Amino acid sequence: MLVRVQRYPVVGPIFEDLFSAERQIGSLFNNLLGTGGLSRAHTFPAIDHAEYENESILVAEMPGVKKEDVKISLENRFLTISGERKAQELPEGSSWVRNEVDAGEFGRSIELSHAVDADKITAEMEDGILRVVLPKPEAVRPREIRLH
Amino acid sequence: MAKNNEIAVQQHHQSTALIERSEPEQFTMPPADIYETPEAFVVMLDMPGASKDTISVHIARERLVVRGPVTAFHKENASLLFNEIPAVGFYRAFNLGKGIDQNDVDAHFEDGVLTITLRKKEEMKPKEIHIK
Repeated sequence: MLVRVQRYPVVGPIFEDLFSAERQIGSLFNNLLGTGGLSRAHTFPAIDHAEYENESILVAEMPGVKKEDVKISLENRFLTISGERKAQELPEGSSWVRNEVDAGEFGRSIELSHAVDADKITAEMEDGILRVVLPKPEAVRPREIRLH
Repeated sequence: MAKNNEIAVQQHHQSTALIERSEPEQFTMPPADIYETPEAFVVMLDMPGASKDTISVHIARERLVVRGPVTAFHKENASLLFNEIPAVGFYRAFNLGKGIDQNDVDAHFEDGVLTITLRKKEEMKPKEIHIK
């Protein structure tokens, strides 16, 4: 499930981005040379998933999302993160100059590459980053086998 | 708003050279929501993974420059199964035009979103004109 509410930016005469059309062409070429602005993932949330010996760690970018609006669940080997990013409400008498940020419901499932000790999963949110630690059960952790 | 989320805005009155020279080599541009109220402009930038201790907000000569370095999420020996988050910081700059009071800007960072409030100069605020 992935539902996104797309709102369209209205560009005003002020807050001219320093990356105007001309500069965007410039930074595109810069990209090809390995410098300049990189584009970011369009999926929400963007995730990194790193595997280590005894655990794997999932990191998800969730700017503007409150902890209480996120749900994490594990079913078999599928880890699902879902929730809602509440839209920015415009105070009365205000108008948009730019509106580039998406809001709405989101959801993502990934299949884990290893078994998980479900009781020991921990999750925390800080500065718009969700971090889920998925420990492997003792039985599947790598171990050295000694020769007798 | 919680006081400990506030970020000091650094003002430069003489020149923009100081902030222009230091555009980072690699960065991503955070998406922005900007709205205008009768008294101010409010800029909100998505900067997940940056922190209030490392974000910098500079304002000089009608230019606003925001930087947000990020620290690495993973140890060096990690094998990455998904890797969608660029391991580079955030950077974005705007020309503000005239009409912003550069001495009356504040910023705070919460849930990965940097919010900057730029108040208008008195003469830019809307005024109601009464018809006699």
